[in-house]
Amino acid sequence: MSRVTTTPNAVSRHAAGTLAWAQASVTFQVALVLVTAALVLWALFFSNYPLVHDTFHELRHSLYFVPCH
Amino acid sequence: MRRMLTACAVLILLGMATARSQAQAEPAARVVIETAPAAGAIVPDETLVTTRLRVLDAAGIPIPGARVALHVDTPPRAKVITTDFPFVEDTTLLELETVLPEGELSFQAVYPIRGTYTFRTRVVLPDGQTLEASPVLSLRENPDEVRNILVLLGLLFAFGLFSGFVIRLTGRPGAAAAAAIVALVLTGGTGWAHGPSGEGAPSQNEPVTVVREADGVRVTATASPDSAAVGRLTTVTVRATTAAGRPVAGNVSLDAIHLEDNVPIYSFDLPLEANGTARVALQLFDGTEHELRFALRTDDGRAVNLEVPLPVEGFAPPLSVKLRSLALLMVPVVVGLAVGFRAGRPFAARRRLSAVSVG
Ligand SMILES: [Zn+2]
Repeated sequence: MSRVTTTPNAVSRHAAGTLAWAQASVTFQVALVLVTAALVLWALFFSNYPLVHDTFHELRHSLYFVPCH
Repeated sequence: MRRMLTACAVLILLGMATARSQAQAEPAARVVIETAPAAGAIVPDETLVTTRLRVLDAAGIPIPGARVALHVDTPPRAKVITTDFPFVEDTTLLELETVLPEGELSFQAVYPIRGTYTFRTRVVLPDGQTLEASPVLSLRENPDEVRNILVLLGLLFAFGLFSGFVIRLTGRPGAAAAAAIVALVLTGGTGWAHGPSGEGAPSQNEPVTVVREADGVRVTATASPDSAAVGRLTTVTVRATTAAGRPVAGNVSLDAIHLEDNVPIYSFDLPLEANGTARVALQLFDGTEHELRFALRTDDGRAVNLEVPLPVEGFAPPLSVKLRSLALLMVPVVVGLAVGFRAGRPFAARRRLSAVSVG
């Protein structure tokens, strides 16, 4: 059986700090995922960069609502 | 072609109009438009469709010598969901005016996008009466495109789900940052690859004219403007005369060829008018090289062929259209993320618990 040595006050302070950090981190990570997804999709389907545009030309035309030209 | 039409034997479009005649109570004539294959079997941007327009009397017999003006309008623009050719939406696909010696006209065309096309027809009967009709042709999207987009949306949902789950569990969404940088680099480039570059309003150009003389027949073919553009009509005129300049009687067939795939996207066979000309205006909807091929046959058996090269200018879709489509693609990512995040909750709690008991 283990004994908890920290005081209740310290535990709650530590927990609050972890929670705030976790929340900020989660928001950042969610934003990162969304931005990455948007950027990759943009590069793939909406980029005017000739190499990318031509490479994915047929793919673009084969997707119901992805505009090409 | 006639065999194909009867084989299909499906009346797709039936535009009826009553000749404007106050004296008559019965419909004097009607316009019937049929397609082969039937509308349900037409794949946009793929099927070369035979479209037949007939002017029939009350007994269903074609009326020879009627004159028709036909405008085919492309489907209207949808508010949110675009097609792959946004510049084709809400424009005119083709326009022609010709006499129908046998009361009917057949032409072939590739219909570029899904949706409802309107065939605005105005017919002048030999007795001077006019009738107007606007039959429609509704095309469904290529089933492959529907399947593909569903697969893509499913993958995006799965990506969101996985990310949400991982974020809840570990707080580390893996190589997202690296991917973001790669994507940034890729989007950095500008320019346009498919066909000559162009952004914004199409430029107006001079007409291009090709003349060929053979067998005593002089044929002049003109495309105006010389560089076609997606969303805009190109007027094609062919004129056949003798060397002395007198108009000749005959027929001209015109094929618009998509050179990359070497397939026709339009094919017409039109009689020459009394002044030796035939004219059609058509929209070339792919921003790449095309060629107009003319085959002229005079009534007395002479033949002249000629070709007119025609580049077509393509345009990058408007930013608003791109952003709308991007937003639609992001929906499953967001939903997946939320679902994955929620789904990861019990696992994350268990992880914390085991971490505490170990510590
Ligand atoms: Zn394209």
